[in-house]
Amino acid sequence: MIRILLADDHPLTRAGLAAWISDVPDFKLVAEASDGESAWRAMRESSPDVALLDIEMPNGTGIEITERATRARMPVKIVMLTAYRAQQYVMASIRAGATGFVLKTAPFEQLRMAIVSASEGRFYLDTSVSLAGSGDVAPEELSPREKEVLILTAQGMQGHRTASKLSITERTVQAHLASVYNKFGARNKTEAILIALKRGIIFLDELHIDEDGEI
Amino acid sequence: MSARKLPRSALFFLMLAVTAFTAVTFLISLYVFKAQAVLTDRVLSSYVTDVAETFAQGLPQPPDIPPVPATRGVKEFGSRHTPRRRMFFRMFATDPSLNSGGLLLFDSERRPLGGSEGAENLISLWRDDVALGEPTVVSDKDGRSYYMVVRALDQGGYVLVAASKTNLLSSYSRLWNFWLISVMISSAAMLVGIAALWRYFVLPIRRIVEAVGSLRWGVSMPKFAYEGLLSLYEVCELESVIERSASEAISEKGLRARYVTDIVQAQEDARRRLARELHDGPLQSVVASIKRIQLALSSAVGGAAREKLDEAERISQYAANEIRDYCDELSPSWTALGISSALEELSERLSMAHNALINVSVDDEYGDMPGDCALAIIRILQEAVSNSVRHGGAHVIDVRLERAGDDLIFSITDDGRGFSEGDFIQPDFERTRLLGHRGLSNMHERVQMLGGTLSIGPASDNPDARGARISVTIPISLAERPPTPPLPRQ
Repeated sequence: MIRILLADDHPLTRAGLAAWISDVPDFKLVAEASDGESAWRAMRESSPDVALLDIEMPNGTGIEITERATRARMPVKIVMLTAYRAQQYVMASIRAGATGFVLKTAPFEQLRMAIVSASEGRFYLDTSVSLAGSGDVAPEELSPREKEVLILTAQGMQGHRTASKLSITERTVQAHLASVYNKFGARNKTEAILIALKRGIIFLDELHIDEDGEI
Repeated sequence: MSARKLPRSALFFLMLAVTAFTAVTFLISLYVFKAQAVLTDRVLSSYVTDVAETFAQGLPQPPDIPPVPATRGVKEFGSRHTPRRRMFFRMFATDPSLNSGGLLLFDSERRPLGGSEGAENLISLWRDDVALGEPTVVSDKDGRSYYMVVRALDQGGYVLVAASKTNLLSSYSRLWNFWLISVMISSAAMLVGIAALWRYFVLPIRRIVEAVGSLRWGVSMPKFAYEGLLSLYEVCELESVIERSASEAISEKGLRARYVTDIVQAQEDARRRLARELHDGPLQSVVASIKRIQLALSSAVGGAAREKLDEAERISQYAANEIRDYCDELSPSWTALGISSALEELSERLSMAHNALINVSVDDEYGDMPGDCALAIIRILQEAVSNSVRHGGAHVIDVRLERAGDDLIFSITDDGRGFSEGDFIQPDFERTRLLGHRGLSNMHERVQMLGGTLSIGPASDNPDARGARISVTIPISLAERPPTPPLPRQ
C-alpha cells in the first residue's frame, strides 16, 4: 500500500486525480492540499510515502516545498506534477530533491509508474518532456571523467567552477560535455543529464550537494 | 556658424608671452635700480676728481696767489672757468638756492685762498682720514653728504672740490628710484594678476570644459575639481548653470526612461496576468477534463464509446498544448527559476524552434537579479536569436552572461553572415524603428530601461571573420538591486 499526498490548487484537477488514486488498488490517498503551506503541513502530519506536488501553487511552489522536505530529511518521495513542459522545471525539481516528474496531461499509467518508481526510490521522468536521442539505441559508456563532469554540471555548477574543481580547463569541460552529448544524441546539457538519469548512468542522490559542498 | 577656433595652446602662449615680457621688465628695472646707485657714485666721484684735476692743470699762476674773499667767487683765477663751473654745480640741483657744493683753494695751513661762493664752509669737511686725490663721501655737521676730493697743487696748497649728494642729486635720484620702483611694482602686480587670472579664470574654465566634455548628459552630473575653494563669481555661475542643465537632463532622461519602463512594465504585467489566467483557468479545466476522460477510459468501456473518448482526449491534449504555448509566449513562468535556468530553458526552446545550436555559459548564479532585469535579458535573447537565424543564417550561437569588473556583460555571438562594412557602427534605433524593424529598437529600449548600453557589431575584430555580436553592458549594481518603484501618481 502506497500512502499518497495530493497537492494541487485547482479543484477540478485535484478531484480528477483523487478519484483516480482511490481507484488504484495499491494506492491510498491520505491527504489533499490546495496550496504550498497546507501541503507542507499535510506532509508532516500524515507522513505519506509519496507526495504529488503541483509546481505552481499559491503560498509556496512545489519546488519550495520539496526543498524544505529535503532539508528536513523527510522520508517522503516527491513526484512533481505540472501543466508546464519545461526542462528547467525538471532540473529545478530534481535539484530540489524530487524523484519523479510527470505532466498533468500525461496518461494515468505514467503517473502510476511515477508513483511506484518513486516509492521504490527510482527516478521517473514523463516521456513527453521532450528528449531527443532517448530511443532504444544502446548507450555508449561514459568515461569516468565525462561522468564526473556531467554530475557536477547536473548539480548546477557552471563551467569554470567545474573546471577548477577538477583542475582542468573550461575548454576541456566543454569538450567532455560535447562528447557526452554526442554519445547520448542529446542537444544540450539538460537533455544529457536527463538521459543519464533515465538510463541509470547517474543517480539522483549524486545530484544533491552535502552541507560541506562535496559530492 | 561657429567662430574660428584658435589652437588649444593659444591662451597659454598668450599668457606666457605677457608673463615673460612683464618678468623681463621687472628684472631690468631691478638691475637699473641697483646699477644707478653705482652709476651715481661713479659719476659724482669722477666729476669731483675731474673738476679738481682740471682746476689744478689750468692754474695760470704760481701758488703765491693772494687770498681772496670767500664770497667773491673764483673770478680772479681765470674768468674763463668760473661761470661754467658754477653753472655745473647748479645744473642738477633741484633748488638752486641750496648749497650744492663748490671749489675751494687753500694753503697748507688750511687758510682759504679763494673759491666758489660759500665754498669756505667746505673746509670743515676735510678731515685727516681723507686721503689726498681720493674721492670720498663725507658728511657735514648738518648731515648733508658730499662727494669730495682734495688734491695737492704743484704750486703748493690744495684744491678741494665737493659736490653735495643730498642737494645736487637726491631729488633726481629719488624721482628716478620712484619711477623704477613704480615700474617694478606694476610689473610685479601684473605677474600676480596673470597668476590669479590663470588660477581663478583659465584653470576653472579649462576644468569646466573638461568636465563638460566628459559628461554623459542625462546620466551623470559634472564633477568640477577644487570644490570648496575660492572661485570667481562668473565661474561659479557658469558651473551652476551647467549643473542645472545636467540635472535637468538627468531628470528628463529619467522621466522618459520611467515612462518607457512604465509602458513596458504595464505590457509585461498584462501579459503575465493573461498567462496566469490561461494557466489557472482554461488550461486547468482542460487538464481536469483530460483526467476525466482518462478516468472514463480506464474503466471498462469498449467499442464506439472508447473511440470517441480517445478522440476527446486527443483534442483536449491538443488544446492543453496550445494553451501552454500561449502561456509560454505571453510570459514564460520559468523565468522565476533564476536567470541561469531561464537562459538554458529559452536556449533549448529556441534551438529547437530555429534548428540552431545555442551554447549558454553563465559564470555565476546572479541570484539577486531583479525580475525586470532577467526578463529584459530573456527578451533580448529571444529577439537576437531570431535575428541571427532569420537575417544572418546562423547555425551556432554563443550566449554568455559574465561579470567584468563592475559590469554585467550579456553577449550573443553568432556565426551568421554578420554585417557588411559600416552597416551598424552606431545604429540609429529611431530610424530602424521608423523603417519597421522594431526588434533592434525594442532591444535598445529594454537595455536603456536597465540603465545599460547595447552594442552591435561584428563577432570579432578580424575583418574577414563572419558573424555578429550583440552585447549588453549593465552596471552590476543595477543588475543586483531590487527594481526602482514606479513613479508615484500625481
